[in-house]
Amino acid sequence: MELYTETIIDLAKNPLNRRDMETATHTASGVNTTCGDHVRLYLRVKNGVVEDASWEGDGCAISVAAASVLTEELKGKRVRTLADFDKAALMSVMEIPTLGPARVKCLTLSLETLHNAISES
Amino acid sequence: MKNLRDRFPFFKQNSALVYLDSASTSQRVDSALAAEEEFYLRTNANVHRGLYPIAEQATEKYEGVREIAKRFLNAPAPSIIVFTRGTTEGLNIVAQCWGRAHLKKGDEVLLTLMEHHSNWVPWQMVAKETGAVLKFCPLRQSGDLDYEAFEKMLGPKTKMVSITGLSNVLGTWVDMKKIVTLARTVGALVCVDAAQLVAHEPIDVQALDVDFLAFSSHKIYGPTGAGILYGKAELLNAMNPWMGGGDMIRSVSLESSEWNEVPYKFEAGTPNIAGVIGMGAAMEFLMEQDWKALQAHEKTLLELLTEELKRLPFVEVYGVQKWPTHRAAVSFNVKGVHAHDVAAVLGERGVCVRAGHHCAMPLHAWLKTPASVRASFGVYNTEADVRALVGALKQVNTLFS
Repeated sequence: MELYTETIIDLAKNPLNRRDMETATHTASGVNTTCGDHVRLYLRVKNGVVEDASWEGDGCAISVAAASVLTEELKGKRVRTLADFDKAALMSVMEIPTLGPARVKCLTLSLETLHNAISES
Repeated sequence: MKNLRDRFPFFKQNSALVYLDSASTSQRVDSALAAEEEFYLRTNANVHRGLYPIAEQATEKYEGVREIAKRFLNAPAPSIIVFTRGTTEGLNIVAQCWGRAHLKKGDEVLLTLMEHHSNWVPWQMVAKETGAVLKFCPLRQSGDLDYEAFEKMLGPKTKMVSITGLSNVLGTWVDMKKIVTLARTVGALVCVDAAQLVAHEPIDVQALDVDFLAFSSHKIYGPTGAGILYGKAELLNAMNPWMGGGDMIRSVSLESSEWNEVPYKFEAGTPNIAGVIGMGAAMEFLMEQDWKALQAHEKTLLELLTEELKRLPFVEVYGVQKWPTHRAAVSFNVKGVHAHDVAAVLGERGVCVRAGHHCAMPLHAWLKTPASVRASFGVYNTEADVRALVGALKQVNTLFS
């Protein structure tokens, strides 16, 4: 099974929404100490809806692609529905059918950071 | 080395696989697999207990491995060969059983920046308990140990030098004779993490005059879950055990127990009998080899890989890979690509390498990278393996650039 699809490689080379956000209402940071991947996630929420989402950080292709896809997906979603956006949903959007145990954390880093961002609010 | 590759049944199942991760764990030699299987099929019984023939045979086989290890390390006696689960347990026994009893507040333990976490964290734990201070010898830019700094860091407070014989990341070989000579000038003991060294050089603990030395079976083509701690008799005798249970006692009364003798006092519980027997076969396999030929072959592979990597401008190699002070492993990164991506793409192309911090986070902090890719050699590797790696690295670069 080819993990490094054209989509993943493209996102790794040209990440989406990788920028600071001064007007963010929710932020959180996450780190994968074992590989040095780190992410800071920003959300701007108005009337319970995510107006804008972005991230800063660095990591492997999977984690960069995941942060890109996740932030893209969040825009326009109601905050109370975000807790349901889980690993399976993210993998589905990223068209990753399976992911080995060593790489799951690359995918879930930005997802866990998102859940921290909304739970800390 | 083609005939040696034939001794590894793994490659019959995986003939196309390029396995360059022997510093993590090696493949198993046929004789070790056969020894394990024979034990389970013919003489499976607990050791040191049964009075029936197969139990006695099991005990003889198991205890016979101490004799093999004595020859393997040129130890003065089989009784100072302690069976462990691996290097990590061996180093923890030294840190816990020797360290707790002998280290006092302000005493110093000298380590190096390139230690594996298993020769780092146990000493941190003991230092926290005892108030001892850990010192870390730096490396030169080349990745060599800075022996001058080492000498300066030794002092009257240095009680223990615990040091790798061969870095699992940079492949840096350590001049252990020099280390021991220097350590003795201040009366410090020397404990060697030989996890990597043992697969690449014959070890003579008496000639080196080290006090403790630990290694694992699974790095020398034997099974996982078995290893050896060698220690000088007077040191082992004076140490308290760390785990209580069966086999490690001479007598037990309601409130207290009398410890068994060395090595049994460090071997509580039913051991990994089959693993130890397999480890014995693996040590015999290595003793049967012509080390000069093995090392010449390894030198060829190292030099080929080094030369080929030099031709790839997108690859950054850590340390100066120069035989014989560097061997066995080469760590590098593909510029702009995360080490995990490199290893995963290589893996998809049938090339197995390790990526990450290789249980050496402080060393990677010094290298200023969170992770690196490591290719490491075993006796079965070929020049074709090296070329396959280099070819796949070119594909990685194309994919990500």
